[in-house]
Amino acid sequence: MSAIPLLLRHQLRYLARTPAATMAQVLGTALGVASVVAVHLVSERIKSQLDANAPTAFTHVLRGEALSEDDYFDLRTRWRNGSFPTVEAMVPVIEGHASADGGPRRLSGIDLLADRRPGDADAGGAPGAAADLLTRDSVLAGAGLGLAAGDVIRLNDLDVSVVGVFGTTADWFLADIGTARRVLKRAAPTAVWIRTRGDHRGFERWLPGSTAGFGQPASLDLGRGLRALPLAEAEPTRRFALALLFNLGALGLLALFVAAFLVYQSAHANVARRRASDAQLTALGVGPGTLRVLFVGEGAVLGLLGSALGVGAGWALAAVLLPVPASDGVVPSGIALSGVAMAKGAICGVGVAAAGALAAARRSRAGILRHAWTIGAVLVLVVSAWSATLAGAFGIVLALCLLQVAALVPAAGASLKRLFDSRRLRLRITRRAAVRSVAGQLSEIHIAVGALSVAVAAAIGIGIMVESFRRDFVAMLDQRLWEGIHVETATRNAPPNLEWLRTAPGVTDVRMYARAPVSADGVSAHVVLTRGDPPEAHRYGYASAFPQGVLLNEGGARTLGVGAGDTVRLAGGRGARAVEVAHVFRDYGAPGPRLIAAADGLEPILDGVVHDSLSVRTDGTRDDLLQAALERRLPTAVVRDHGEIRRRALEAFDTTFEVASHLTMIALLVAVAGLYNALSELQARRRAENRLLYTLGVGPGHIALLATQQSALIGIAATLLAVPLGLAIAWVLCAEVNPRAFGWSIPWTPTAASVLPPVGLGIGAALLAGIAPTRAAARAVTGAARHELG
Amino acid sequence: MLQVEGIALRRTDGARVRQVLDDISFELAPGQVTAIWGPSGSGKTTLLNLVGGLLQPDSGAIRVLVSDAPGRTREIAVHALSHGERLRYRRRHVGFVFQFLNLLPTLTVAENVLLPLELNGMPERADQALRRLDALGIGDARQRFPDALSGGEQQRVAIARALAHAPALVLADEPTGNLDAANAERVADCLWEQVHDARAGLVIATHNERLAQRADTVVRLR
Repeated sequence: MSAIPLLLRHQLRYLARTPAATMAQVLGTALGVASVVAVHLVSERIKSQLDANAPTAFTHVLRGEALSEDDYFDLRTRWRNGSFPTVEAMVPVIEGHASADGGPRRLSGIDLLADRRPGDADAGGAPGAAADLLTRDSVLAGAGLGLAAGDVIRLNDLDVSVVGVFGTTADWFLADIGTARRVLKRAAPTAVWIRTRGDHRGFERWLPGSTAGFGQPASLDLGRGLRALPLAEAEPTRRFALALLFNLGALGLLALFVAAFLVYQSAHANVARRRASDAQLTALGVGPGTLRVLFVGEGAVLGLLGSALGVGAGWALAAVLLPVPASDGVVPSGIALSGVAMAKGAICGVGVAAAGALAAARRSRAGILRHAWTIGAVLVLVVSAWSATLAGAFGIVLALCLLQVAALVPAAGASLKRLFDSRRLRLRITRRAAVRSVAGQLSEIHIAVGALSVAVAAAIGIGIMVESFRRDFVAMLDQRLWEGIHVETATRNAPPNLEWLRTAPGVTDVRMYARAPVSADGVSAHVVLTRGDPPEAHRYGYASAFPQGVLLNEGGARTLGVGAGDTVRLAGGRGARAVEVAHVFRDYGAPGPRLIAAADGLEPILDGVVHDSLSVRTDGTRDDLLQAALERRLPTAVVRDHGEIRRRALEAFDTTFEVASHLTMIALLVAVAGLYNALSELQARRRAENRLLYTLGVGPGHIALLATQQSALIGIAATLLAVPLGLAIAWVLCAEVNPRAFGWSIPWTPTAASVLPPVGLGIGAALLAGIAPTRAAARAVTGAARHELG
Repeated sequence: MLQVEGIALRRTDGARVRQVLDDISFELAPGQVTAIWGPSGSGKTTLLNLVGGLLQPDSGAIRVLVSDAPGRTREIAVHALSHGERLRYRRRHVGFVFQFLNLLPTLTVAENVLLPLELNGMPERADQALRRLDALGIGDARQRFPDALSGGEQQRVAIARALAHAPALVLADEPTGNLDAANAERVADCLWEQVHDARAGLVIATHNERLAQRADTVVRLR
């Protein structure tokens, strides 16, 4: 006769008789899964919003003054014949600036019938918007323009209806190519947007944003002299959007890591509670294999229950974190629960819970398992440190987190135990017993303490990175965007007569900027031509004039392997020259080498120079009047106040990283739940000691105080251990991950403001997690005295 | 010094009411030993818990004559104390020795012994309490943790702790139940000797007939 039915009955009765422990596992799993699902959905949404603000749906753009309609059709024919197997979509676009009520605005007209994606993505949730774009003169307006569906605006001399709004900060119009043709009065496409098949799409589906830094595609040779550039080169905003996405992806990965620990801890604790009865069963002859199967099955079933709850809770949490404006008619009015999010949550909930139960059942292997994790983490760390790839940088972060949980927390527990075991410890005896108990068991609850530590470290690391990034970004904006107005002309040539501007009241300087393609040491680059005087140098953080030298961006210096004082050979269409790199400047946006040079020194060797922007420096007193005058005199130019550019850039930055703080809070919340389970387990193990203390005359209040001190000690230990890890994570993100992903480094500048709040939160979280176990400890002593001593 | 008068205790288990103790009375003088003898489940531990103030009787009285200062005595009606008062009574006037889990595993031998003194604010008795460890033959173990001691040694530490704060009463629940015969004899000797020297009263719950016969009085439970 098989004993399995009897054992199952025993197991079910145990679960029913310990509803608190059973619920702790189910709810712990649910919370972990909820955080995984919420972080995933939030990342997906942020990605789609950034996609809408900058066209990340495409990978390349083909532009050219001489691009004709025939060129496009020839290209499309060759693509359909299979000449470009990696190309997934090819869409003709007419781009230009149209005069609107608020001044010239960019209008992109795309052939909606050539590729469904832009219409679908941007008009999602607004059935009929795409059809409207095709059948009548209408546009989708960027949310930054402040228009609403139903508005009618005049673009150049054509009245068009706004049928929807896209993005969150975009300030341009999207239309069907036919409408753009009529507004801009151009017949031939000005560009072709191309989407190639991604290598990392599967990875991206599971970890949204994480592949944004996996390297940008190379330029695409389309034959017959046509070369499509990676969109990131043509659209610097896209590059920046990808950077934001990527850093969110990294945070999502850390949140997943912490959630997995919680689920593991919940399942582990539930099985570990039953060691005494398991020992009896083993003594009676029940094989360890049978017990393991029962526990793994139980872990999986409870994990499944928790996952079902967690998926729903995560969906709701994502909706709370990202309230979506429903009135615009275009942005989806709810957050869709994707199959990937559900699958990811279920795998984390069921798989990790089963693994936690198995680990608890194989208690004798716990030490071996921990050593294996430690050795594995060290190997990953060594290989990652040696590797110069982005995956290597990620590997460093993950290895450090694993080491924290598998090695550092248990080692800290052992050190604390040695310290507290000291006979000279100057603490009251009851407190001595309490702290020694915690130190002794720290290695047993290292998963929970490690998870809290990693969550706090992630909060510190991301906080420092975001603060450092923002501080440097603001400093860069302050340097570059002096008081004044930026003008982007719609032609290749500068406006002919600017004397009126130079002498206008309030104007202190007018600078022309030109750009041209150039080869730097054989690498494709572009050069910005301007004046090489100290004011211009100051915009790039350099103090002196650079009449003969060039200023080179950080990404370019990395690509070319040069630094300040080195020489690069620049080759243009009309000649070549060796120039000295006077200074390397930070630059968030340009992926390839970008040089700033004095126009009179370098222009003679360059071909294809485009003079298309100017900067008006003012004293700030009459900027509104000047802006209006510029818009009046240069009707096809885009005129923007530098303050407005700065404001929009920071708005995009802050909007994205506001979500980062939400995600960090979720990770902390998850860690609190994990710690709650661990503290409950700790107090359950201390029940006999507490009972003895009570018998000796220590009151329940005193026992609760001791339990609180234990929680605080764990919180302090976890957060103190988190500080070096957080600083290390921040350093890796600033100095390794971002340079490897985007070519720019972020100065690692930890401040008390970015370190102390997570530390306070960590200790507070430990105390919060300890409230219920503390109360339970106090209640248990009186009850136990009555029932067990009696 | 201890007077137990007609105490009774009932336990309710669902709809079933069980009479755990019924009309139990006995008296104990300082330096004397009372054994509570009976089979398992007869209520020996429950009676000890009532005397120790861990439980309250449904009826009857428990009075203990204690000395707060030399020459100054007062009677405590344990059965009528509030929860907080029972806690203080237990802390100051009672010492406990159990069969298992006597010592806090995270405290050294010396710290375990000094614990009641710290709880009662009596640091002046520390030397005397620690000297008792020498008298019990475990003076060398002061700085060791309980897991490094044998069962007999742990029981002797428990005796030292039970007497450290000079309680009026020592309550021992099967103190030798976990020991072999030789060790049990040695621990019993120590207990009797120390309690006698300290002029405390000892109430010992046991099902060991031989141990019960050493007591001055025996309360037999069925």
